[in-house]
Amino acid sequence: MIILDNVTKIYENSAVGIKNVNLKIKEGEFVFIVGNTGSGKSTMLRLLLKEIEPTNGTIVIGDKNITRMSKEKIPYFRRQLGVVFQDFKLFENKTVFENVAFAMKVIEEPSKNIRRTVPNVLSTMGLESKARCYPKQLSGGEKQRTAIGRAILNHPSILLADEPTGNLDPKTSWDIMKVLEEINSNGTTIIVVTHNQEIVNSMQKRVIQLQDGRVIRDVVKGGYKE
Amino acid sequence: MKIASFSHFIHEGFESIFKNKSMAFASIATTTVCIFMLGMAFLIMENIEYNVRNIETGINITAFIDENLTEEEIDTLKGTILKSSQIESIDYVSKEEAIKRFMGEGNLTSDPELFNDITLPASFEIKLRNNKDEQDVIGILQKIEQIDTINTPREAMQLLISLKNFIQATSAVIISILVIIGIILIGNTIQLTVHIRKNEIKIMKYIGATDWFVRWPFVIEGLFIGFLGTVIPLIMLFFTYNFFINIFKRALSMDEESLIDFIPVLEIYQNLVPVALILGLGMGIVGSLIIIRKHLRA
Repeated sequence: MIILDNVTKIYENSAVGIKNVNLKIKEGEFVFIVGNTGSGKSTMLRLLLKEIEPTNGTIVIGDKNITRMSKEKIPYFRRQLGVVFQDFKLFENKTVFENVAFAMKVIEEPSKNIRRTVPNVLSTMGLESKARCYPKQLSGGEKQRTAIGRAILNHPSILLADEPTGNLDPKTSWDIMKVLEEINSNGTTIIVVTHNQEIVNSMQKRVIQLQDGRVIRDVVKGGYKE
Repeated sequence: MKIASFSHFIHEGFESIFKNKSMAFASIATTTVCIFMLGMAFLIMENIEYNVRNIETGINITAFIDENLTEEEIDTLKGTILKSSQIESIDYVSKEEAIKRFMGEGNLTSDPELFNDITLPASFEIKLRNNKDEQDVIGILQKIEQIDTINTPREAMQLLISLKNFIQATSAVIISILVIIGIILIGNTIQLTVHIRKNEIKIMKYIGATDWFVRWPFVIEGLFIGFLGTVIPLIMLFFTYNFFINIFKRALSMDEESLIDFIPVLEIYQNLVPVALILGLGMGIVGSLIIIRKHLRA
């Protein structure tokens, strides 16, 4: 369960990130967060990642109030989340295998476990044949699948995706959304920040719409616009 | 830290050094200069201290006596001086013995004409039980008519101590400046690596890397720079020191009985190596930690 209780974020330059946001996202939900540029989508994602602190309000993820979390505990909290970005954020000097494996290296898993687990994830992502390729040798879709592979390697309960199809063509975008839907079917909560109207309209999932930092629409099944 | 992570840190640390060769070279060079200066100062100071100790534990006072004294008078005088409980021993050095010693130090050739012209006074070499009693004993000796002049190694020791203090103060200033420059340069090298790997660090943080997981490769990079910057000057100093003490020994015709001596290189290195390693590795660690701390905070 993710709970945002009256959360406000005002930046140092007085810009409003989000204002008085109240939200509850249940375990296993698939949620789209939509809105125009500057509406507060990225702020919300950064708050959930505990990259920034709210000015007011409380954020609870699972059974933890992350607003009160000490700096030392943040890395351990982030290991329960998977995160995927529009620009993939892959290590350019590492192969696909190494990029995915890095999520396990970070949590200091033994090499034996890494060698056993990573091929399974690569197989799920359809990347077995690309294991030894570097990111520059991959297509956009393959890069994003590598990033998703890395994000799900440690079986996170929540997967945050920031514009995951932003750099992809429509067909590849659909492939990626299918991958996310499959991950969701295994019980992982998926939160996708997107501008892709076609995908949101077609998938008919929960949609939270933000405008000027406020939630202006929250529907259980809906499209990009009312 | 687990073994798998350790090998990852080592790999990442070394990779950074090879990617930023020129900056790493500059950092190693600065550390080398710094440790070389420290080593030189250390070698000089240790040798001065060693010789001061030798002088202190050697002859304390030389009392030159009236050259017209007979052997009996000399024996009587020796007995009178020895009555003082502050004196441990007293040795008589005849004129002939004094000349022989002087020649033995290489100050003269065996040219008989020159030998004939030289006259050195006979003396007593007096060793004290305690160096603190030096002034008291000098007072007693000054009251004895048959004693012409009294020499103590105090002046030579004072000169050595002043020289040591000067070298200590000068090298402390120079080494401090070099340490700061070294830390800044190592920091700059690490900063360059941090800048290049800024995105990687961000990704690591997103996927749950602890600060120490991010820090270790940079610390290892700094440690390696510090290590090389210490080992290189230590090797250079080893040969330089040996080379110069051989030159000095030859130039001064020093032998085992000479008043001035040098500490053997292997003996002095037992103290120098740990000091140099602490400073060199310390510079590497401090330089890298300062920079990465700044970055992790940001």
